[in-house]
Amino acid sequence: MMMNTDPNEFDLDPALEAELEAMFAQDREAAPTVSGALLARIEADAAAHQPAPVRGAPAPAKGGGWFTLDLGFSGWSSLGGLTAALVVGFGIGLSPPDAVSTLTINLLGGDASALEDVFWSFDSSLLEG
Amino acid sequence: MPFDALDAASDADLLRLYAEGDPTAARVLTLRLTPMALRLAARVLGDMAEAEDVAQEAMLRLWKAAPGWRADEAKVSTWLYTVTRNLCMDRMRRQKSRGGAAIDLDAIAEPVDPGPAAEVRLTQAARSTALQDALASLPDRQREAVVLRHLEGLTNPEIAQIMDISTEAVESLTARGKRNLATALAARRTDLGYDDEH
Repeated sequence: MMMNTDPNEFDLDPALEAELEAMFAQDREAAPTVSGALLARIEADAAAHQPAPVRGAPAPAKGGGWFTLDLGFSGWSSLGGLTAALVVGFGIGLSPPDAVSTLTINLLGGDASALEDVFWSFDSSLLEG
Repeated sequence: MPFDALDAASDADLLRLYAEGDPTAARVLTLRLTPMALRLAARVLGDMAEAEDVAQEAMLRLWKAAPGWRADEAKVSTWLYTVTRNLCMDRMRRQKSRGGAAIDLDAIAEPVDPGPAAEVRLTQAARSTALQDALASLPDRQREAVVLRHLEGLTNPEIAQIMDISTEAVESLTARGKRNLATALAARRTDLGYDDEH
């Protein structure tokens, strides 16, 4: 342990200074020890006043992504309409009713070949990029 | 975090970990800092039971201060010395206002055998008691300065911060304190075995 010096200390008689320093040294060595009971009390205080552990990153969501966020707001019931629309659309795609074809042809001016041209152009543009 | 891993961490880092909920950090800090607070309180108050209460209270204030602790504000050890010193001052003021506490002789524990030969042991005990008596006879601020500097080994700037005075004032207090100690002890030099050694 480093001790400090200052000019005023030299006012003391060197022999007295040495005796005093010897007494300080003895006292430093004989410093009081901390009892186990005191340590236990202090640790109990620490536990009683310790803030709750800080959470790191938020826990990962079970489903993940935007889908889970949507469920968080409206739940599975919100998927009922979407599911029904998908099923109906898939069914129409497989076997379109005649009314759908007629309606589409009428919208294009009553020429069925025009519809084929539209789909041909669309397919070509997809293939050619 | 494991105890060994935290043993080398700084006081400030341990305090931050404590504030984040690490229970091991509290244990390391307790073992590291309590002796410091207890030593200072015991030397200033001269009463072990009172010193233990002060040490516990000082550590309690540290736990409470942990969540808002700013590492750049103060060294943890200096902060604890300051709090311990202030708690000691409060107790001494209360004792003085009550006219001093009576000493319960039955409450004083028997000294533990430290090992050296009986004569040496007696001399050491006599010197230790004489030093404590002489310290107790000093004005409060001189005693604090002497204890912090010569028994706790702090630097003058650290003591100045703790006592909220200038470094020059610390030097003056310690110098006057030592002169007064020497004067108080001079009359007991023979009893303390110093004349035999010269």
